[in-house]
Amino acid sequence: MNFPRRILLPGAIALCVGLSFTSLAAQQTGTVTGQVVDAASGQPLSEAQMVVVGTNIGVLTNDQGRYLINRVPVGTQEIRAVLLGFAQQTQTITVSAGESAVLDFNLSPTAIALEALVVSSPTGRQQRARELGSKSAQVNVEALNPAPIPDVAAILSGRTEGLVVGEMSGTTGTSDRIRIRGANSISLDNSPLIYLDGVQISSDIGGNLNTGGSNVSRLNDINPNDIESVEVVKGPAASALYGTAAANGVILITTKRGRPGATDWTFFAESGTISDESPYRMNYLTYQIDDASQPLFTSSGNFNTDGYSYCYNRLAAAGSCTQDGTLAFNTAKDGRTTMYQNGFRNRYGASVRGGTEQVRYFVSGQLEQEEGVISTNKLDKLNLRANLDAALAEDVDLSISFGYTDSDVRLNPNDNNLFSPVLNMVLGEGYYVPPTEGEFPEGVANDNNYGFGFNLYEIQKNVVYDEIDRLTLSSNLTYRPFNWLALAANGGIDLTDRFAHTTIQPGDLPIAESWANGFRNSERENGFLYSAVLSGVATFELTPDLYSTTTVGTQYTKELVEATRCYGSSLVLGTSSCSTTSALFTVDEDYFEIITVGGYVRQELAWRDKVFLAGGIRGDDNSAFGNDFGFVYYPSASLSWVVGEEDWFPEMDFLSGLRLRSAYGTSGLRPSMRDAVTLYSPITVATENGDQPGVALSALGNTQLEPEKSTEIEAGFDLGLFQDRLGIDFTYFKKESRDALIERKLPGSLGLTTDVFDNLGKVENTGTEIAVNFAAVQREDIDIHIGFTNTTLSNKVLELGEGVDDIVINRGQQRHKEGYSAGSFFQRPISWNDADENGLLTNDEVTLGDEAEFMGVALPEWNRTVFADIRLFDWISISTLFEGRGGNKSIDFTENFRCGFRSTRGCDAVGDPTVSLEKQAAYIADRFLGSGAGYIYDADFYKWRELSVTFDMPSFITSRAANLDGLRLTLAGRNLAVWTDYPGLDPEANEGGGDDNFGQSEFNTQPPVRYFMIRLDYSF
Amino acid sequence: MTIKIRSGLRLRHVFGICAMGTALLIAGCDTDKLLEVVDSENVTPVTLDNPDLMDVVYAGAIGEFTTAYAGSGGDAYLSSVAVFTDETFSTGTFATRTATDRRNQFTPDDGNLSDGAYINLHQARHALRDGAERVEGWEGASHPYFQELKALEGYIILTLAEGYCGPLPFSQLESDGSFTYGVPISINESLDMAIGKFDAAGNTNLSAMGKGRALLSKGEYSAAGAAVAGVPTSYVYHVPHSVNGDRNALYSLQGNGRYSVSDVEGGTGLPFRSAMDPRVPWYRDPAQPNGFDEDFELYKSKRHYAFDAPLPMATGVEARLIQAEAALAAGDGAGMVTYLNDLRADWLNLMLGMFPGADLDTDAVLDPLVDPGNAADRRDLLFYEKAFWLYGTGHRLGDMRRLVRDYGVNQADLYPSGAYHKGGDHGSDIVFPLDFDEEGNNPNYQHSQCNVKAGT
Repeated sequence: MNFPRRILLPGAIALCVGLSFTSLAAQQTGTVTGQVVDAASGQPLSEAQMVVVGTNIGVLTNDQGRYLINRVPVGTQEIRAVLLGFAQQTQTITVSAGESAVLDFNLSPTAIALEALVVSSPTGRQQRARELGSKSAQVNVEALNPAPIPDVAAILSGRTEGLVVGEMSGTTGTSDRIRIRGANSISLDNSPLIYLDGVQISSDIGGNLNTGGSNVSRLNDINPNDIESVEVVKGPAASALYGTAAANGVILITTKRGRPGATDWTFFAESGTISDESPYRMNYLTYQIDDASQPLFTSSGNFNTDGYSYCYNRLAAAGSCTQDGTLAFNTAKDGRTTMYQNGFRNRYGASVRGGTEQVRYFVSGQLEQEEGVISTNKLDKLNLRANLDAALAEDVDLSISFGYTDSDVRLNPNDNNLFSPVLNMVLGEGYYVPPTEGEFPEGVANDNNYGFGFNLYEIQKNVVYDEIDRLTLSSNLTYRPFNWLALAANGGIDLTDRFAHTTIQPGDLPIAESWANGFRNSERENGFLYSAVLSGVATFELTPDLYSTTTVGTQYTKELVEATRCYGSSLVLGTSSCSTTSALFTVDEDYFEIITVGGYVRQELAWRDKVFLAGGIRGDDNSAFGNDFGFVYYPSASLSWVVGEEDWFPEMDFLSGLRLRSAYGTSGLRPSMRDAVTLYSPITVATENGDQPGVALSALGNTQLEPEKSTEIEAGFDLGLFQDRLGIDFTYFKKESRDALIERKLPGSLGLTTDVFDNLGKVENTGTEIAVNFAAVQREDIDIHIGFTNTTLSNKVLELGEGVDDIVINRGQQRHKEGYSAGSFFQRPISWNDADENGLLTNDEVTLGDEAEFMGVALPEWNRTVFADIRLFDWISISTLFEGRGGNKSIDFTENFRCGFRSTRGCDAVGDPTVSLEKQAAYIADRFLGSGAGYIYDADFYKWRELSVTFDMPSFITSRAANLDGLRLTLAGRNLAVWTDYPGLDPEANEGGGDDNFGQSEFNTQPPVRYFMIRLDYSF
Repeated sequence: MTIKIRSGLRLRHVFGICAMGTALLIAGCDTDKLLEVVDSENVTPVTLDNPDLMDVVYAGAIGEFTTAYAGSGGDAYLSSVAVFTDETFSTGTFATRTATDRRNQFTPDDGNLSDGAYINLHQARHALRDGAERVEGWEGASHPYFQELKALEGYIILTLAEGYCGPLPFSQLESDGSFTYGVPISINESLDMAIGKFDAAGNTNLSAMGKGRALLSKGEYSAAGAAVAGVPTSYVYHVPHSVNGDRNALYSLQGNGRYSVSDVEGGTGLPFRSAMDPRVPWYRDPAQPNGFDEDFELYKSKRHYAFDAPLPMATGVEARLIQAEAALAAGDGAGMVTYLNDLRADWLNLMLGMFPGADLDTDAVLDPLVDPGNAADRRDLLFYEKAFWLYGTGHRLGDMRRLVRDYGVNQADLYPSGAYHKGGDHGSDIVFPLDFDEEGNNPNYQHSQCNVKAGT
């Protein structure tokens, strides 16, 4: 299959025509210079984009708000100043050959973000938000207080409508689940694509070494202090030009860059504590007195079964014992038995930025140390960054971004793991067992206090190390041979060298033979992601009111992972290598490679700078498509109309701006490397003559396999009220994924694989997004800004495909079922009747419905945030953020397992005679009748995510002090409060971590933790 | 040839031209070349169609059989049978294991312990059939590989018929890649299908044992006895295990504290521990006295003594027991007891042949049995002996099912019954249900066709 010439050739020819003019004499030009200031305060505005309208010529203002535009064609030109948070301003000036014209700008603040610069294509080309019919969200990270932000995911959390970050675990270094406008795919990953400084990087949530649940996040390798802004390209309507990986949206991260002017040094130090504040529940033991002369506890501190017997609720309900007494104890909360500590986080960093108009630089470094609430859970990270921008010539710019991360994460076992601290604590006894002298070091709790008999001293012997060295390198070369033409070449490399390992020394944890003899488990993984984009942008003034912009580009992406894993038991004491093991040895090599090539063309028309129409198409081919499938095409279209600026638009005192917008687009999700091919995997087979190599069918291919295609239409408006002090954005979207890749089940009787990928399904996501920004107070000494966002989402599986039955996930509790939201909860309903009215239920008094019924959805149906930024005088700032989410359910497998673990004691349903009938019924239905419905709860919550209070040294002091431009002290907190009716540990907690597609359940998951931080920033 | 660059053409223009040239080069190139990915990890069907890979094909099919029947470290048909019957009880926390142990299995949509084995058994059936066809094409039907693979295919069908609820569907991948969804057939028809495979496998001890076992399930006792008459008593077909390959599942699972050797389970089970019979050696590990649930004592079988302990699936011992049952059916009590006593007299050698590394009580003696004199007691004696000889080898469920179906024993007097050790009472299931995904994805099958309490 050849490349889609029908897409590329028209654009390429247009660009070649441009090149053909290179032999013509150079145009006569002059320069334009001036300053941009805030109209209200008179303060200079940096980072404002200054463009010559109708050309590709543009620069940014420096720290003093000054700019200099070279090579401006002679004649009358329009110069436009654009800056986020301010209304754009366009002025006309006459440029004379070889002369410099002066033009100053006074920009007025606005609450509607029409002038935000938005990256609209894989080339990294920026456009004003007003030009796009789709709604992108932006986070100006540089303006955020970094103290309450531990990682990149936290930047996104609660700050952009349409994007939901599930903070799924409080284990340091683990990943969150990020979803933009719902979940498109039943079977493929629903995580968005990540671009860093214009090139795609890996966001894989790596790791096969089992901790039991949550895994580390590669997204959080990036230093949040290096980030200048984050843009969220929400769906296919906006991301069509990103092609076969962009159906879940794209997150574009831009790091800080140098600015012309004096060298700016910044240092910071940050320190704080981390604590677990979760509502752990009591453990109960109810007993019958058989021999009152006996002590209740043995000499070793254990429950004395010689004189007392367990009289749990079900036994008492059957009249088989008398409940004479109840013991209750909270292992996780009691200071003698809790495994929790107050963890800490320290960060130290320095950066320098500066340069000239020709060469600009930004260099930074950061050291980060974090120790979680379990003492073996640690993070040590070093980030280095160097960004360089150079004007190689008047019409050639080069940008290079270099990032390096050395990250060592140590994870304690968590979630579904025998050594999980949460598990061992919640399964504790209903009483305290004092230490046995000499059994453990001083201060270590008796391991009989814990569910599986492991105290912290023992758990500390089981640590998973996840160490990475990561290099990201991107370069962008831009060449503007003419005012109307810009050519760009982007190249990027993302290299990750990962080494994960765990070692159990002989005798440390003798739970089974392989453990008793010690073992080593390690994996080394090299990940490579190469990307290259070649593109050209041609801008023409067709008439004085009509401008045309044509973009054409090609893209190549190669994802490659090579891994080697080993496991061995019978370890030589004191060593930690597979080569020092002598039993159960296995070694495995993994290889994964996917290549995508694509090309795109986009045509934009701008009429009177008020009406913007665009259309584009991208074509992709991919190595993972089936052999019988060729190119796939993704069309897009966009319309934006700044109707409020029309002359005929009625003037109203309260209405200061209005834009209408709509967009349509399609993008895709590729299958994985081996989904389209039938394969046999090698296996080791035991025979009477020893082990021999064999093969087993591992994948049933589908040669027709093609990518999922998600088509989205969105429409909305941006409204400015009261002189733009109140901005309201509203967007409605409807997104349909067709040819959805369904991992359809095959009947077992076929004897093939259990499932096969097929393009069968249809999934629909519809919703609304509202963002309200209100500049409540704008005075010289007080500035109060309040914001509100609300996102609604309705997800529905329209089709699973003919002959495909419900797809059951998450231990049988959730299903993909036609007509319902993906991953909805289905269980047989529970009813009960305490016939003898003794307050206790027997198994016979609990009944189930005949059929599994819909219990609720797993995907949140609404997400809303409220935030406020308050500035008092010029030296106190207060910021806060609240986030709420809900409409969905979650399963409390933690409680489910706790109740089912021991039949004689444990959770309240088992051992507390005063427990509600509802809880007893839930327990009986789950353990004896086969329905988990009683543990599926509403997961609505509101959280106080962030609060920061900042004290800046007043300018009248800094302006007089030598070597001091700024001194700032910040006090901050994160996860400060939770309001919820969910009875488990945390409604957000999820055992599967960030790579769990639809599962919504906690299972001994470490709940999100609370941070309190203090930070000092110093700059000169 | 000398290329001169015109002095007026600046270096930056060269950059641009190069960039455009590259773009156009890509635009004009064959993207199939760009998209070529070599998968060095896996074998394609085309690669496999090579006689030089016959050993690999054979081993792969054997491996699939082992995984399905005996297990590869995790649950399989064998462990499911053991915990469902009176051989082992659950000392773990998984609800599906508890439900199976309780004989009160979940509805298919909630999932059951035996689901994985059902899928794996069919996968093994496909692999064995495919492997046998390839070997036959390369070497003919007389090749030992063909005979073994075809016999094992028969064993898979037999196993499904012994353990799972009827009627049974057998679906098939056709040569053109299409699927033929199996129309369910009765247990009896399934057994006939298995016998067909044994007949096709040629005249081997393994196929004779399979045929005898299948005929026994059909109630054709005399024919069953005749089928196995030529199998020497010392014959053993081991399902091999190894440390690095397929690990002995029961050893692994009891090592993890999931299953414990039962004793008079549910009041009706056999006294596998208290009988202190040297054929079912067991021990309690002081280093691991309790099961995974920490609530119940853990007793480990010495038959399953290591990761690499082989499993005797078909033996000459079983051949004599089949002949003993044929004698029982013929009313020849003395003949039946003679078969049993001949085995008991040589118990140590036979056990060492079946479990070559087991720690056995070499001083133990099995006294000769006496004919009880009536049919019911003879039946009980025979099945008691068979349960102890074939403990933990995957035979028990088929025999219990036959006792209910063919001998008319009340299930509540045979299967574990009454109060369950983890709470509640035992249920009355006597066979495994089919996996949830069989219905809905096989248009010919509905779970309503199955009654796990009937066993027919």
